[in-house]
Amino acid sequence: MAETSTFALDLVRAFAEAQGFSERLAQGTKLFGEVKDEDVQIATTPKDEIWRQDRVTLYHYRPLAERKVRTPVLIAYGLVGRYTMVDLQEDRSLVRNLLNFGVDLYVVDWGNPNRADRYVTLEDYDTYLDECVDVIARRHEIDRINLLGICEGGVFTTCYAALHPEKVRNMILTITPIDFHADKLSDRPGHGFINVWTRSLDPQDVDRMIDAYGVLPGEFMGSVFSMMTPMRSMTKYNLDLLDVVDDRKKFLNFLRMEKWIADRPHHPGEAAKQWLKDLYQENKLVDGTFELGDRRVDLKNIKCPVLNVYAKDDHIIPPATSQALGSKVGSSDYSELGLPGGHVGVFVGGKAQALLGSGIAHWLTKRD
Amino acid sequence: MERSAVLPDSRPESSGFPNPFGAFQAFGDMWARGSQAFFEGQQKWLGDLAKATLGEQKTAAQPDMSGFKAAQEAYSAALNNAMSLSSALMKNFGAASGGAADGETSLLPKMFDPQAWWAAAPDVEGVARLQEGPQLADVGQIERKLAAVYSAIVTLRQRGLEHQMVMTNAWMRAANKLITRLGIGADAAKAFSGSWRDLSSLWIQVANDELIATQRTEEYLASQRNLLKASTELRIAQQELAAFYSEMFGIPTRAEIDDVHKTLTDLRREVRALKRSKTANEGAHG
Repeated sequence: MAETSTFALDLVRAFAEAQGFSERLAQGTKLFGEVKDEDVQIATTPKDEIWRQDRVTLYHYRPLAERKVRTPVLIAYGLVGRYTMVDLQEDRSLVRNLLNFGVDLYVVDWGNPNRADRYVTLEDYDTYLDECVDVIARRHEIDRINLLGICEGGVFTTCYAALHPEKVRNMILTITPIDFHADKLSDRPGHGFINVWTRSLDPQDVDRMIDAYGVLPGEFMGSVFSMMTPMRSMTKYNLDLLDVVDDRKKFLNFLRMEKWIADRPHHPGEAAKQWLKDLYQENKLVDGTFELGDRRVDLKNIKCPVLNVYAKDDHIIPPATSQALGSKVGSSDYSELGLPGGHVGVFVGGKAQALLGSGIAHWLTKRD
Repeated sequence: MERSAVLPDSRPESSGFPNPFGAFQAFGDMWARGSQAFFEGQQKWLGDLAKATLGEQKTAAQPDMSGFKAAQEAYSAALNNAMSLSSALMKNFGAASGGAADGETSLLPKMFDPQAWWAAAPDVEGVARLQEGPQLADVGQIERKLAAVYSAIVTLRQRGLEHQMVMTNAWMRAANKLITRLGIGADAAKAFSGSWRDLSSLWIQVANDELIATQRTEEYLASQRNLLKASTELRIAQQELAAFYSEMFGIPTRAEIDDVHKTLTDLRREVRALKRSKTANEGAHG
């Protein structure tokens, strides 16, 4: 007996969708014509520059509420992407949430490295971070401050807390890789692709790439991130855009995220070699052999309270790679906070970003 | 039993079997119409956006192709003239030698082929020989560097095609899975029924799953690695060629600039250390 195809289009729904499509298109056309680049602002929370050296700038956010946490917090983002993610828009801003909880907040901006920064290493970033900590400590006449590290910035703060334990009161990590091979513990499709991909490279390939470009180009890392969500990358500018073009608020949210993604700095060359080879390939941080200059980073030296925040659906930094810190850190006050959402969603997702701000503020208040 | 799709040509029209690609085609047509309408609309948006944000800069930003076209036409005309002249000369040489094809006259066509003067692109094997052969101190250095660039381009193209092959195979697997999911030969209760958006969502899901699975294969990772390596080697070959000319014309080379940057980075480190030492001393002395 012949088979028959059971595939069928629901014509009524198809017609309704076509009609809705046309309406959205018309509204979207109008909106696209109206919105200007100056309408798409990110990182708008007022702040003041208080220190600058080479490409690095330290900012202090102006308070939005009465101070409730006495010890100031320094936010350190990584070199892959920019800190503006933590203040993407007014209603989805970790910065504003923390300020509203009465946290005194600083952020370090690593600037826009270029080929001239080829020889800048992770040791240099440890020195810059140390300068920032000292500047803040002097301003407040204290010995220790709180650190909040994000992604690669979390690795910076982790190394800093291990090398300068006397200067860190509390440390909060968010979406931070510690065990770069722990992605193997999970077989969730699509999770940890950067780990797999980087391990597949020969170390000499990394060296040659830095020889050729002097940096790890921002565009290159952008393309690797796009590979992680292949169809999402293909449909972003048609289906996804179509879903938001008839709503000004959603459309502006979309454009703000685009602005952040487009602002992807280059990663200094020698620091990139350390990041890709020492950490992603050889996993030296977790096994205690990672060195900054002539100093070995021993995670057991981290004695301050640690809050380790991870995103449950983080495909870039799988939770297990972050959670590995728990068994390695020397602190007796270690806690974890798993939040819904992905790598970026934890900062901008409606539910997660609210939980993130309040979770950090409450944790800090208890340890101030 | 799950069946994989077969190409439309492999099934006779009148076999009574449904054409799995018919459903796929319907989806494709629907998708194409939607996409066309969308992109037409998008053109309008982009036009509005360009007018609003770029204004007159838009025209200025477009590359001027007129010079290139003129040069191309001039080259073509010159080559035609040269070839005509070459033919005429060869006829004359033929008449002068009485039509005898001895050793010397057989070389004439090559010698008078104007294209031989343009140093036509060498074949890949020739490039490899030039690159891998013994080096002479004062002969052929620039040719060697040019050959390295050309060879790197060929390798990059080859690696690109290899990667495209991996991706094309993944696409074929995804397409077959979609057709299966659409219900051909499957349980009717599980068969697909919905709108074009449902259909596109299904395709996105199926394709995404397949692409992600492909990314984990050694075949994909190897082709990525080879592609990255090839593009890096091309960049380095280009830089070595640029360095040759930079040295020739007294322009700083990339290596010299890198050296300056290294010195600058070292000096910055020393300045930072001195500043910190000074601050520490000031603190110690009140």
